[in-house]
Amino acid sequence: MSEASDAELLAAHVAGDAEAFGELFSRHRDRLWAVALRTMGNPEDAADGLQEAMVAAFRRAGSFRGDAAVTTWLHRVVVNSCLDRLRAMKVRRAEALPDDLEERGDRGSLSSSTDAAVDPAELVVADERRRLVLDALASLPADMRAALVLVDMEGYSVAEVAQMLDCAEGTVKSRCSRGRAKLAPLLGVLAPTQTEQPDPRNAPATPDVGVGGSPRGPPRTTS
Amino acid sequence: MSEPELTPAQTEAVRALLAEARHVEPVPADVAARLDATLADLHAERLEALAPVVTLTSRRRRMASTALLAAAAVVVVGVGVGQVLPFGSTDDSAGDARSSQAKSQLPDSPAPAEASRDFGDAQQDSSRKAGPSGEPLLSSRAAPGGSESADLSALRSGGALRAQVRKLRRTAAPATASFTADLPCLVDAANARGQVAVTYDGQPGVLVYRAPVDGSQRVDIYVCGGPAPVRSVRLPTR
Repeated sequence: MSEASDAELLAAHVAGDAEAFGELFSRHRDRLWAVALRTMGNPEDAADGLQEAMVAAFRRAGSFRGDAAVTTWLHRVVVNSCLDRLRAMKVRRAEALPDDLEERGDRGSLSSSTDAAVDPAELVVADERRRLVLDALASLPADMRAALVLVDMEGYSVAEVAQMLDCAEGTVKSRCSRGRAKLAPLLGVLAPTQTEQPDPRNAPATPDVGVGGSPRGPPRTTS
Repeated sequence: MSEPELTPAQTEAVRALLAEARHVEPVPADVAARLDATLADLHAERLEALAPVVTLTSRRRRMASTALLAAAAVVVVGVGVGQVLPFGSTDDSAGDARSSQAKSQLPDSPAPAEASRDFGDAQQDSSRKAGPSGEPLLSSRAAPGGSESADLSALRSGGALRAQVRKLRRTAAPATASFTADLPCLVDAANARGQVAVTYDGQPGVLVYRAPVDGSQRVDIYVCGGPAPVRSVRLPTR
């Protein structure tokens, strides 16, 4: 027997099924938690935001028109709940996430190599890098932060995120672009790192002074 | 200050860093438990909104006329003691017998202590006649504001039982509410921390809240006349 779809579960909930909403929410809970956590910046506020969102979704399920995927609708509810909280709290910086880093375990980045999981030095570097990213992300305005969390962290398309944020695709692109530009200097992306590509306006570098021959002594005096 | 314009490479570098910082762990257990508890409350709220309103007057009328919600005196016995001692003229569990018994025990009649029903009366009757085995029957104490508790205690097997049971834990009196009954309820008192007289799908019964263990509490639902719980639910403890 095939599993009920998200839309079927939501419809069943609206019709009065006592278990349908719980099953639906459980399916997507982990990912919704990730969005709430990265948007709010700390587990306590994320839990509050997610709970509030769940209550809102439960009560307003009847308003879902079916013009988007149910998961898109759920994300919208969660993001709106978090953004409302942020606006109310006027949070601009997130506190450290020590337990978040402890939970990381051997999680690597999407593009990381498996070496990071076994090399303790790499783990430390990755932890520091992640902390830097999260701190920088927390400094962004809430709208930009939400857009980047959904597009660059969670990997949703611009079109999907536009539905989640109930705005135009161009607005999503603009928020992402401006958000990345704000993050770049904070993350050291703009810092020159390539010494093997010298500025062509400079004179060619001369070879280093060799060590061969007799060592240099103090300048001779004439008298 | 305007943001610098990023090259494609710089844009990808930022995106890669963001992707690397994605949270991939599942919801923490304490957050999951909190969400589950909230969901249970939502279900209970929904049931209350859907349930028909039963006023005290109509309830008393119904109980006097049909005895649909004829209360059970709760008999608390130890584990292993299986003696049921009726205080009516019969211990048949037939609905008609119970109904006719209840008719003879109208609230205004000086009913025997164990059969008195007064939702507003907190009087406790601790003495009853003993049964043939000599085991005493313990009456229950009427719950203050018992009529409201009685409304909440109409449990249905097809509903969100857990939410209803959870709600009753908060609102019901710690001791049992008393109802008129000709048929006592037999429950296992082992590790019992509280009891609430209820109806379960229209049948008189009782909830027994067990001692919490490892963060959860088992609640057994008994239907009068049966020796074992018909259902059990688990509630989180705070």
